[in-house]
Amino acid sequence: MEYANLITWILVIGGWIAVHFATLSRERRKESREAVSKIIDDLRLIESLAVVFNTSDKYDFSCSVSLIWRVDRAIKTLQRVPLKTLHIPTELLIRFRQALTTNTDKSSFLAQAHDSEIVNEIHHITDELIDEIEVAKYLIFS
Amino acid sequence: MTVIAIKDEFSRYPAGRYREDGPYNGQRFREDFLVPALQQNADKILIKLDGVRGYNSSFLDEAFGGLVRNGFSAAELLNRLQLESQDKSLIEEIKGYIKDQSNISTSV
Repeated sequence: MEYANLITWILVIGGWIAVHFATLSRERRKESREAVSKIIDDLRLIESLAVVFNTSDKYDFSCSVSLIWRVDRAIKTLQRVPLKTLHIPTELLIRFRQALTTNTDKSSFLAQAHDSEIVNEIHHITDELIDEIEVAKYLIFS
Repeated sequence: MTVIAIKDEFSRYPAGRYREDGPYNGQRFREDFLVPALQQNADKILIKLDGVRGYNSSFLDEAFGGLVRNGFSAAELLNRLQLESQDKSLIEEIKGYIKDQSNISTSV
C-alpha cells in the first residue's frame, strides 16, 4: 500500500513538473512572439518617420534626433533577450543604421523625392530586416 | 591604457559629421579626443561606446574613418583602438569605416 502511494506521489509531482515547464515554455514563446510583433511595428514606425524626415522641405532637428534614437533602440532590442535568439545578421543591422541615418546632418541635408535612392533604400532595408525577423521567428518560436 | 568613455567625457547625445552639425559632432570627437589620445604614447585606447542615446552613421564615419583620412594607418588603428559596446553592430560598423577608408587611400 505504501509503495503504491509512493508511485502515485511520484506521478503527481512528475506530472506537475512537466506541466509547469510546458506552461513556462509556452509563455516564453508567447512573450517572444509578442516581442517580435512589437519590434516589427516599431521598425515600420521608424521607416515612416524616416520617409517623412527625408522628404520634408526643411531640415527638422527634433525629427532627426528622434530617428537616430529610435534606430539605435531598435538595433539594441534586436540584440537583447528575447530577440537575440533570432540571430539577425550584424551586417543587416549596420545597413539599417546607415540607410536610415545617412541624411540626418544639418550641414548636408537634402530634401528627397519619394522615389529617390535614399527613400528606396529605407524601404528596401526595412523590408529585408523584417523578412529576416519573420523567417527567424517562424523557425525558432513556432 | 587610455580610456575614453564617450557618455562621460564627450556627450550622451553625439550626432552629426561636422562642427556645424552641432556641439557633439564626429569631427570634434576625432580632433579633440581621438587624435590627442593616439598621439600620446599610450599603446591601447579603450573607447567605451555605451550609454549614449544613439549614433548616426556620419558621426561614426567622421570620427573613426576620418582618422585614416588624417594619416593614421588602418592597421595601427585596428590594433590600438579597443572598442567596447554591447551593440556588436556598432563595433563592426566602426571597423568597417576604418577599413573602407584604408582601401580608398590605397586605391588612389
